[in-house]
Amino acid sequence: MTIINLNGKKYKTATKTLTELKKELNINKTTYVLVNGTKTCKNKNLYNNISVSFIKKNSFVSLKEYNSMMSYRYGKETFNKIKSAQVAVAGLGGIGSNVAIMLARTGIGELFLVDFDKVDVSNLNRQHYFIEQLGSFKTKALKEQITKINPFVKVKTKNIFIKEKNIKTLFYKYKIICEGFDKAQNKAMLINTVLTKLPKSYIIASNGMAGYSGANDIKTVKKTKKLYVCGDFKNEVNENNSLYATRVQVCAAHVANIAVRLVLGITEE
Amino acid sequence: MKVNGKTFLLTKPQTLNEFLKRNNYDISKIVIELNGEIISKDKYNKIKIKNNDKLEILTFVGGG
Repeated sequence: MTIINLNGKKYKTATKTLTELKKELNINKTTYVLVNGTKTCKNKNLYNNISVSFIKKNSFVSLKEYNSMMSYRYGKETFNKIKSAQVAVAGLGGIGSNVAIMLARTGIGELFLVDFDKVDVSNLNRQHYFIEQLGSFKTKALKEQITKINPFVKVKTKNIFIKEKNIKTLFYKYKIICEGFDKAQNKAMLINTVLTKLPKSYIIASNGMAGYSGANDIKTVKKTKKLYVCGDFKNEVNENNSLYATRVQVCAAHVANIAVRLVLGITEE
Repeated sequence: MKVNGKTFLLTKPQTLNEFLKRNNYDISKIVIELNGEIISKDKYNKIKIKNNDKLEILTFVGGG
């Protein structure tokens, strides 16, 4: 007998292979198979603790199945760190909206999304919003999207203009804060305040991503023990240098990537 | 002193604020680390800088 993990539950079987197991359970072609979290079409030998999930095509999974699938995919220890992580995103424009979506897909357990603004048409060339969301608060619009991508992420939101006086109250709970502001002054204000008032928190900032020069110019730099900065450190947005989805998303991916690395306990870049 | 890794000779005693103004830094757009410590803005006027100090000035640009 083999004891396998079937759709997140223990299951005892006398079958020796995936094909035999499918016959035993009457699994037909409207179902696809994940073995240890990864989709497969091939037959495989079964062994103790192998994870097998049969998932009906076009259907979603339960929390239990999701946890099992992701644990096998990432490895249990890694997934547990990701699932129990809490990350804040301050400012939900080109950087913040894309960072939030990437972190949700990754499976970060809790996201705290803060912005005062509403979605408008000028946002759509680079920010992660839809036409049907024009006029909605960015916090609400992103929460809606995340629910459709990964409903197991807890999304907390706050519609508020972030200023020096409310930063401590808003973010003291969060060990990882991603900065997604537009104006240089606001970036500097948030970073100065977090580094001096919330010394236990990491802040990941973005600095320079406008225009269409090379994507390789955008990098992650660890500036101080608690400050990481992603960007080309140069290309400012102005009338002659616009923001493009491509470079903004490269920069957002740098921010999200260092957030995930910090969640996993990796502090060196 | 060292400013962003480059050697800089201070010719007279001055506060951090005076140094930044003299060298055309926009105080609203920077983050400062002096000898490994982040300096909050309200201290720029009080802190005197001297040779042997190590100053890191990170200037932010808009966009995000």
